[in-house]
Amino acid sequence: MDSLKFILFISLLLRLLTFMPLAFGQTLIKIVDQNNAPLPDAVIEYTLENSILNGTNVKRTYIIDQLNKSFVPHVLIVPENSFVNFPNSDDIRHHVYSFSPAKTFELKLYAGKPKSPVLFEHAGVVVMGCNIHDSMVGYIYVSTKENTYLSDNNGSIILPHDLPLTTQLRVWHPNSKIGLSKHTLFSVDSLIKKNNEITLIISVNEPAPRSTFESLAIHEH
Amino acid sequence: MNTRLSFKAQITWLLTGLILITVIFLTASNWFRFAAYAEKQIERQMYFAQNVLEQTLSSQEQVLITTAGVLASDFGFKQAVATQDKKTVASVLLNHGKRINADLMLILDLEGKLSTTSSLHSFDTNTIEENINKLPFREIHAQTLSINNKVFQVIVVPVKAPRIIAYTVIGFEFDHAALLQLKELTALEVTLIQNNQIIASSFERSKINEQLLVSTPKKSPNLLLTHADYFHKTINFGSYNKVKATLSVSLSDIKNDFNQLIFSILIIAVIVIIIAITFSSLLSKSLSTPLNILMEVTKKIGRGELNVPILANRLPTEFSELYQGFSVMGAAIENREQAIIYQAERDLLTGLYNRLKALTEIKNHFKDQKNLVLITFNIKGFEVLNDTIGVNNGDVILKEIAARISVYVEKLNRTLHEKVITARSNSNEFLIAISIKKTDEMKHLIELLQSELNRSFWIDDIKINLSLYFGVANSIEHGKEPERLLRRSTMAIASAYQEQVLLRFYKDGEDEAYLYKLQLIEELKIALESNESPLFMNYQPKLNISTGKVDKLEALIRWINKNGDFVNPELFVSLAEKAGLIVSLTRWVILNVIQQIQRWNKLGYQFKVSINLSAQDIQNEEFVEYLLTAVKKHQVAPTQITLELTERDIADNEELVIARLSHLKSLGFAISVDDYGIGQSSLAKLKSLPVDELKIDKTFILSLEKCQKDQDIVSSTISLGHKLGLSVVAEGVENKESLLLLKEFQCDYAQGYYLSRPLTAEKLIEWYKTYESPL
Repeated sequence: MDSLKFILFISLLLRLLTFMPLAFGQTLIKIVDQNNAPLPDAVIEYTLENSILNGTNVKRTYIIDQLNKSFVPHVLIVPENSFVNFPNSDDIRHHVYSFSPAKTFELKLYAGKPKSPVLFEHAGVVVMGCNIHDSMVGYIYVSTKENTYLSDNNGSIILPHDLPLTTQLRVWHPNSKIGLSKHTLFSVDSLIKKNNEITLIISVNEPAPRSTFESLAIHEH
Repeated sequence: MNTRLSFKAQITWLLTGLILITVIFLTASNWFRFAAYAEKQIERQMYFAQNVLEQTLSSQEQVLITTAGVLASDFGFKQAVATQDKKTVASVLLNHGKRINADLMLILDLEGKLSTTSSLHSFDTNTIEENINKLPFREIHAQTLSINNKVFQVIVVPVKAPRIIAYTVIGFEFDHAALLQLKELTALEVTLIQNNQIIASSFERSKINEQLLVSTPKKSPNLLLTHADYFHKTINFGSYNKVKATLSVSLSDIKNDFNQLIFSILIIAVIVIIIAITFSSLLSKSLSTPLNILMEVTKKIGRGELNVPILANRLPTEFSELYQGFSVMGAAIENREQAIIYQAERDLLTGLYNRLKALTEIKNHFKDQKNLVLITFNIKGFEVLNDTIGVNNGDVILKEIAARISVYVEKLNRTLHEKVITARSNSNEFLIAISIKKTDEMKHLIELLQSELNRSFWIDDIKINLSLYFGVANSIEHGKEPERLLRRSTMAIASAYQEQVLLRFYKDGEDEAYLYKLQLIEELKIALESNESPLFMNYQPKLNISTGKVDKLEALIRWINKNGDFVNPELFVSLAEKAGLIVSLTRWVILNVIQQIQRWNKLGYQFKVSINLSAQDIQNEEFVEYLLTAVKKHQVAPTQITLELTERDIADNEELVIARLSHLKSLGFAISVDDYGIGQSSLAKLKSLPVDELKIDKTFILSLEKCQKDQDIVSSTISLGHKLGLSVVAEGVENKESLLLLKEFQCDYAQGYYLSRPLTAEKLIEWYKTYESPL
């Protein structure tokens, strides 16, 4: 229930942000797919030349909930060496695992909160699934960059600062056509940057039609 | 004997033929029906087989998909794949492949590169990648696929962990065993073909080639004729276009069924034919046996054995009646035959043999080397008697004669015990032949017969005495040839007539003279018709006593027969008269004489020629016409021709002759009376005859100079002729004295050897040129 409220709050906030005129020094990045539809869950990362790494080594524990046989959030960005907790909000058990090179782990059948959070010490994309529920897929993006952002449901990201030209943008999306392990690279120039707005197009795969054995299995549940 | 078929054979052939035709039609009809039926069966079988095949493939696919899906979802499997521990993965593939009996287990990465393989088949990496990459990926699905001439049912399963990290390809080969299973389901042989090459087949390996290389038979009645053991149909196999499946229906069962059907029809036909042959032989036997009996009977009757034996066998009613009919017929024929024989052999009036039978009997008698006397007799003037007393009474007399002959024969038989042949050989001529050993027996026999016959005959109260002329010949002296002997005895009757004796024995030579005459008549016929005639004309001059010149000739016919003998003209002319040849002969003479006169006229010799005619000539309807035509044709004046007739010729049918002669005379022909003075010389006739000339017969002239009476007759006849206005000719002048006497008597013409013999035309002219009148 708390998490629901939290999500509602976040979404309300995001909506407010979207409709609010950009404050001075902010940059709006809009990410769309090849059909010009807003693309949520896209990750953008970049490096500013004059940025100063704030050496805050504050270890923060992140959370990916399992709600209605899905990972919430779908995509989570964490810095290196972050702990992530996998609480189970469903009344059924889950068997969360990952075979990703960045982090291979397995949380065998459990309910409620697992004993300890999982440490993600390597940068990279960690694809998570549930051995019991094949349809459950979630992603943890372990980032090394300071500037790493996730697009909201409108495919929008509002950056807190102006984005200088020639900045290299690396964009990742779980359904990207180029593959799960690759980034789409953009160089910020006058062509794509207009009035502090940048629109990025990412080609994605259509979600697979659920007419196979998988879908049958889902309908059964 | 007969080239045509016997009755039995005909029946047999008819029945057998009918049966065979029925069998042929039945077989043909069955053939077509069976072929159509078989086609339908095959079509249905094919249709079901195709459906079953498709259904089987798709359900098998579903099962395999499910199985493969479960396999790919196995966490351990996913883990092994995700960790890319190749050895582990390979062992997992092997293990899981065995679980589901897969023939092909592959792992491909997301780019389609082969990462791990576990297969019973050792394909190299390239071959697999090349073939597998033709498949669409992404989702789980099944498909048929051929790799290196092996056909697989292939399931492509993505391995999700949870995103797709690899693809597992699981293949099940359609090998011989798999196709055998399909065969079990479809009941057809299944063969997989790619690019016209056989990949796998449910056929035994040894059979494959021969069966499938035979061209696929078309649908038709030929289905039953084809040598192929299978009917093939090629269809798509699964969803993969390259591989075709050929379904093969075995035709051997259908053929066997059909052959059995035909075989049973043939067996039935053979049985029926045997029954038919038996039946026909029974039927024909029951017909031919009586027919043979009847045939024998008719043959017997044909041979003249008219006694039909009593029927021995029992026959069907119709044949028995027919047999009875033949029996009756035989009897009737026998009766009629006897009647005919009687009529043929007998004289119906008297019951004696006829001439023919008598001759046969005589001939038979001679066969036994026995001799006969042949007594024939004739009733004188029987025709006249018939006219007088009537034919019926005449017949009574003939019967009486026959009766007396029978009495005579009975008397003879009492003493002689020899056979006597009696016959009525002609209308009024009877024949009695009696066996003799010596000629002196004859007299007694004849006398006995004469005494029997010479008694008076009585008709009612009228007494009639008959004059019977007997002619006798015997085989001892006159030969054993029946015809000739009979002729000789009847010839003796003719001689008896002539000689006015009642009994006459045949004399040697009479028959030969008769035959000579017959021969002459035959020769004369030929002579008249042939171009190179042996007949020729002679001419005897007549001297005109008053002028001393020869201006008349008499034409006389001459004949030298084929033996070179001179035939007496009087003989052959009289024969010609009797044989009816005289008209032809006279025509021949007329034509020759007229032609000769024409030739002489052209040469400047003017003769009057006289031609001798007979009574038959002058009475002939066409005589005048012929004479006129000949005269006109050869441009000879009628006045140059004199026609000579004797008084006797004129006396026969006098009125007609006088009319004819008057006519001829009016046309200019001269008429002469020949041989005047020796016949019935009637002055009354002479008065009324249209005559120009009188010829005094030579009997008065030949010795005229010696006989005063002849001189008186001749001189008075001449003066009589002159008084009647006739010219008088004397013939037979043989010396000068007679000629001088005739001159003295004022005779007009003289003819005779003193002047000249009759000469041929050429010699006459020679004679004429040198002739000097003796007067």
